[in-house]
Amino acid sequence: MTKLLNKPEEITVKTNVEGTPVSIVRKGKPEQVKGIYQRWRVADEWWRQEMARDYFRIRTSSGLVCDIYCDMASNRWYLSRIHD
Amino acid sequence: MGGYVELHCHSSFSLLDGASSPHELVSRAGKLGMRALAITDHDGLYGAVRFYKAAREAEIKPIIGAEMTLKNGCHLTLIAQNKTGYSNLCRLISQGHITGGKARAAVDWTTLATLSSGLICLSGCRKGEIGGLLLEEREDKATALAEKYLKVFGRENFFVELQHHYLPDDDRLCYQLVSMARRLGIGHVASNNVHYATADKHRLQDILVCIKNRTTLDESGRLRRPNYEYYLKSQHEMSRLFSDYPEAIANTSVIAERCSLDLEFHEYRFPDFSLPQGETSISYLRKLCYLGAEERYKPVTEQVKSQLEHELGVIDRMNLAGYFLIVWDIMRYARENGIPAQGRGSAADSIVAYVLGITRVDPIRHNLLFERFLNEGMKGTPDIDVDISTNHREKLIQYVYQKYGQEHTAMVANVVTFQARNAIRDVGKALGIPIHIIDRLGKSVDSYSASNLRDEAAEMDEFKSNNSLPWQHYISLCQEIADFPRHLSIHVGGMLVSSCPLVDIVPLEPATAPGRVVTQWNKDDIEEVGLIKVDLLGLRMLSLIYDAVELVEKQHSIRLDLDAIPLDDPKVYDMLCRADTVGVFQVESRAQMQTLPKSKPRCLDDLVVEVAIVRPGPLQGNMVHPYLRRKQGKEKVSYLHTRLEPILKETLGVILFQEQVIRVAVDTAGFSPAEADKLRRAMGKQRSREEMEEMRQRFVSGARNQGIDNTTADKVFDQIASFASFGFCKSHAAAFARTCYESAYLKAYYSAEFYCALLNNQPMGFYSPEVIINDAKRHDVGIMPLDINRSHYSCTVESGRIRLGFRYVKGVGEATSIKIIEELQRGAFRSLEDFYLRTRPSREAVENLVLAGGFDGFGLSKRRLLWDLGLIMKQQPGELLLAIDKPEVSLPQMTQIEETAAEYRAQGLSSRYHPMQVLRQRISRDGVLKSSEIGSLLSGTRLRTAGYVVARQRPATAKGMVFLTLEDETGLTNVIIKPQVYARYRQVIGLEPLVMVEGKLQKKDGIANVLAERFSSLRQEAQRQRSQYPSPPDPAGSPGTGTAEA
Repeated sequence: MTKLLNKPEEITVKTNVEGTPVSIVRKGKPEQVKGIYQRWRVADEWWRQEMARDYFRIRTSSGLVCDIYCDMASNRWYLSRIHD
Repeated sequence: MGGYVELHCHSSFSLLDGASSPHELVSRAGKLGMRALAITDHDGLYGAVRFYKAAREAEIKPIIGAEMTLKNGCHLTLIAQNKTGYSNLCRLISQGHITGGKARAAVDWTTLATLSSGLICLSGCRKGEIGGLLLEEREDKATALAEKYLKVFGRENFFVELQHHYLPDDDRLCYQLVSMARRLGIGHVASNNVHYATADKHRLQDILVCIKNRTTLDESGRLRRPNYEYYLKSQHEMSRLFSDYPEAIANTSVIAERCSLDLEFHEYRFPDFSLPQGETSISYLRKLCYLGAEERYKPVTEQVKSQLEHELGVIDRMNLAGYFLIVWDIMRYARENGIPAQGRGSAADSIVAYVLGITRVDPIRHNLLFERFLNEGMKGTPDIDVDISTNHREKLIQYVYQKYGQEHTAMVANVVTFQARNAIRDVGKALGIPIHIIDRLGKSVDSYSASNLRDEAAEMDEFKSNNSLPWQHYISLCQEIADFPRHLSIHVGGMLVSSCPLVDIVPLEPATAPGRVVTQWNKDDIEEVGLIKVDLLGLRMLSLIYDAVELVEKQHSIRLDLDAIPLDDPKVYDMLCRADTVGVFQVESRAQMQTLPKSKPRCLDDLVVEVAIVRPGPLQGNMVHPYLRRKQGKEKVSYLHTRLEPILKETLGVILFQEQVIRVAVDTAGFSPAEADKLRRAMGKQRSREEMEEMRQRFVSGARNQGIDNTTADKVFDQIASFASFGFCKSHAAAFARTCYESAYLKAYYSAEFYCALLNNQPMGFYSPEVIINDAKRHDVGIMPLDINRSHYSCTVESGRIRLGFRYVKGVGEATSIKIIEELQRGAFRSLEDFYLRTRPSREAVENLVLAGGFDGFGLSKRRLLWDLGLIMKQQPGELLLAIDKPEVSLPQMTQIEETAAEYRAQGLSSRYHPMQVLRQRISRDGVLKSSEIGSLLSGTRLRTAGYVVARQRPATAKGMVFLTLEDETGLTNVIIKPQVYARYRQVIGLEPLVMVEGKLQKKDGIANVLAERFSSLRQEAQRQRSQYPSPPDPAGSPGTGTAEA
């Protein structure tokens, strides 16, 4: 079961030198990234509004499994999907 | 070697998929420090030669391969290790195209297994079979398949291919592939499935995919790549990507190291000619030459003999006797089968070619130079090109196929590229630009090429203020796609003949014509690689001449022998001097018409110069204008040195011909003819300052040995250097001049037959059929409209007048025409109904036949006929349309304008009226002049005139000047437009067929031009005049005669 958020929720993310997320802060609560299941990159729609995002499917220290992404243009991170 | 090597790389020759040219890819690889690079286009080696050449020049090892499409649609990457592997690759690709059908390939397993030797196989991308199976979790099947590949290619030659583009399951797939590979003891290697050199080209790649799939960016979602990772990546990037599998990176160099291939095929010469007993190629050639000499030269002088021996010596030493025999044989067959054909180009410099009947130009009489065509300093073979009557060409091609066999003959490909028009259309559609904007931009653009579209669009009022992002993308992408290959077609002439099976050298694809194959390389590639070809080009003028001669025989019972007509007929030259040259070969263009009254050719030698000098380029300023001034006596004839006089006398001291350049270098600097030709060629290419200096030094010191001072030598060198790349080949001009004269002769003496043949061989030449018809009328050749009871498919001559044929009527093809003519044998058509019931053509066909006037002979108006047609077509079969049943209908007669419009709609031209003729009354006020009224005015007069735009040119070298030719019922008018004026009225000029122009008359050297100041469309002018003046009765608006004029 996954829940795709209607509006991606902005979060704060700390990454390591290679750009991989190490910890996140969601709704004020900090959590460690315990595992990364997948990473992928999407880049599209350049003719309208350029969309380039680096996605990560992570498991946090609180047990949350979710998809987060970094918007390459603004360099801000968002939570887009929660997995049960 | 070490380092990462890209082994899976698509160039723009993966048609409508790869977004970087081979050159760009090599260049990028160089910047990345890559020591080797592979090219693996889809099912083809289309770009292999260019890639190979670019890589070699950049000192990068070229690796040749292809991404094959298998029968089940999956992809497989193949790389050639050596010559054997390369041949097998060619064969696999060729077989794939035969099995796959048009534009697709489908290689089956058995073929792959038979032709695997010398090839290294990589398992492919996500669309590869093994990758695909693993993605579907069918590990067992994937393993079994991998084992199968192992068997076919062997453990050293089969690798599992890993790719990672940051897709969600890429990590997993790589892991599974490596696990499987390790289990089976197979190597694994990384690649990036490159589709462009740098990431920014992903936009172009997206566009290409849309064009290929005929869709738009918005609608193409899944068809396009999900991100921009498919670029040529560096060692660093790839190592990071595959940090878990360093072996995969190392194996790229291991594989690269094992590949060693050069694309040189000089030893695969032309096939051996079958010789009579006891003869060698050269002895037989010599025999044929002397036999031919007796025909051509009466008597055979010492000069002829010595020139022959000289040439035969060179031919023998260069081992080219066999090639000449092949071409001789083709021409012999042509002659014996009534196929009009003649050699063109530099071959006419050769007396051997002349006596063998390959060319029709006597090199002694025309003072030509053999070394321009062939000299021992040349690498490769000379190209002998043959012009053949278009209508007869197929037969000759068949002969070559039959004689040399399917395996050893193929047509040469032609790469159709994106240029301004198709780029604007295809890119626009992909971006979703509204169609009317695409149309307007397409029609407003002047250049052929799209590379300067931004600058051009900035000049157009309509578009100059467009700033939106979509527009910027549009223009930008059109420029990026300029010169990209779009699709392959067959080159109009090239036929490749080889001694070994061609399929070992280059992949062959079936062409649409049955039994015909095409190489995947174009003529430049063929030449680059050292293969021999014969160019069998279709020339419509030869068909025209053939047809005209047939018509003359039919009409006048005279069989013209064009080899025997006098070449100095004053009537013909009079016609040429007054630029009365619509339809005449090589001298009918607007530019030629402007030059003829100045250059005034009065003999064949003058024609040779005439054909040569009208070319765009700096040549004009340095060479042509001085020549014309000297011809007109406005400038003294002078020579830089007396030594040059014998060489340049024929062109009044000006260097015009490449042959002259060679002679000058020989006489001035003591070069051998071969060295001189080498100098000429070297100058023609872009050379660095140092290289030019070096050449200059050699030239000047050689000249010093000949007793010529440095200053003069320098000047002569400058003269040659500035000319070299633009000069004309005299033999080429001589060959064409002959045909030019013949066409002019026919126009002068047998004009009805000439125009008839011209109309029957369209499209050809510089002018459209309507212009030709009007020119015919001005030469007192009557044009008779279509007549259902008299016309044939083609136009014919009836008592000195031309009867229009069915071929021009829209919707009436050859099949319908044949049916009509067959029916006619059984008796004339007595009415529209009779015609319809007996031939049952399509509605469109009958309607257009009516509109073209085909039924005017029955005494009914066109409107009436169309009305009746409606009733006739409603009838049940067997029912007769009784006169009683026909309601009496009163229909207004068509006006002249409507008659003309009707004819234009039906056949694109009018036999009766010129559009200007019928519209003349509407613009008769305010002194709008006819074309014929302009010539007698004084230079400087301001005038207004109007006409149909029949030609519009904006030569790249003319600094933005635009040249227009307008036509009205009395003739043609030349208009010159300065850039500022053009910018203002560009829309009108580009989109309106009929325009009015106001400007100043410029008369010089017997040529009249209108220097334009203002333009308006004819419609606008007519409106203006109507509102300004109370309208008199308009004869054009009154009923025209709806019946045929006898």
